Amino acid sequence: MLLYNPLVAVAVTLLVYLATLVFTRPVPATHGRAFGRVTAILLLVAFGIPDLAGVLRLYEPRAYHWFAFPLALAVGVVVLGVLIVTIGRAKLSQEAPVLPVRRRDWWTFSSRGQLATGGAAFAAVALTCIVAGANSGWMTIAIPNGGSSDFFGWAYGLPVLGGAILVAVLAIVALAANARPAFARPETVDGESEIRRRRARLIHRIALTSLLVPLGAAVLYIGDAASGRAGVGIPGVGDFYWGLGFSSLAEPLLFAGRALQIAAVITLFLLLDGRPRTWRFSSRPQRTAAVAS
Amino acid sequence: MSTPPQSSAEIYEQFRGLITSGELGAGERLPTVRQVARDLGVALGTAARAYKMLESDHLVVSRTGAGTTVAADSARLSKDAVVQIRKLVASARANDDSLDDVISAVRTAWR
Repeated sequence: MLLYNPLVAVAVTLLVYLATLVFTRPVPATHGRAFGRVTAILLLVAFGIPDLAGVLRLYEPRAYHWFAFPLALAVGVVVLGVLIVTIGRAKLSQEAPVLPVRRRDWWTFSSRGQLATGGAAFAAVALTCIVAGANSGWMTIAIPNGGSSDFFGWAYGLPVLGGAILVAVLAIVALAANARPAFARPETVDGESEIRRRRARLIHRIALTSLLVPLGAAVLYIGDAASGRAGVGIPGVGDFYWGLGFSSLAEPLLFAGRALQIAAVITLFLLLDGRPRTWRFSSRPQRTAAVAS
Repeated sequence: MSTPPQSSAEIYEQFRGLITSGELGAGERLPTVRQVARDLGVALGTAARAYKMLESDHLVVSRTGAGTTVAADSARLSKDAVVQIRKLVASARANDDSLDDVISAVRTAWR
């Protein structure tokens, strides 16, 4: 599978990111950019550490390391925790009370797309951990008729599942803390709402990337196990090999794992830039441009 | 809404105005009592009394778990219509469309 090649994956990531830059344009924004950048760098480091440590032979690549998968989730937990404290400590001066017309819940400043994507990513992580754990041993999966293969069992799944639950809970707490405060003045409601929407977008991106990084790695690892085979050689007859029960899914799993990693890295690049983006080619002519010309 | 309401009667009056003017649609959820109290800087009991007054006038309906919603008979517009109008206004403002143009387009679409 071509995408399994790391160089091809890097090239595809860059191409998709370039396409994103071409087809969308940044919206001027200053709020939360520095925080987003620091988070993106930390998550990129968390994304690269397991591979880098393996390449540098800092640890035995095939030995069990609990942090190999949930490192990005740990970063997400810390960053979201800091964000909750920052939002909670922000001094908000209420100059003129505003009668609230609409109910402000934790989801109020998030779009349906953000909520659906975040929910789907969490569900995918939870399902992957539970299904993989339920169908395997602690760290290995048995190959029919003998042998076993390293696998994403409970040893990896439990820390990832725990981390994913923590990230989801903290993201909801952060969104609630973002929505809760009263507005300063009636005239500032629109502006403050826009700031809260941007902060909610930042929270979603942090949670989404923290979930996508281990999900991609886990699916890739499961796909890797699926392509493993056991065999026996019978003198004079030949060698016979057989794979796992789901070996036919090896290619789709490897593709899905790599695609998820690519999506995670592109989301990280967007977080690094920090500015929200909108479609560059709008079907509606720009009124200001028309007036200027 | 020049002066912020401070008493339960004032809070009641303001919500009544929002419902009868069509700013809040039928079936639309009102903010929680806690949110109203926090946003207006009043005691929880003051906001709760205002909600009781709205309920006793059949302007809102309170159900456990569903919160407080605008009563179907008291609102001028449906919740869907009010939500769509808010979206239309936000979109028109974002695109620098004038109020007259938008109203004219709505009138045309109405025919």
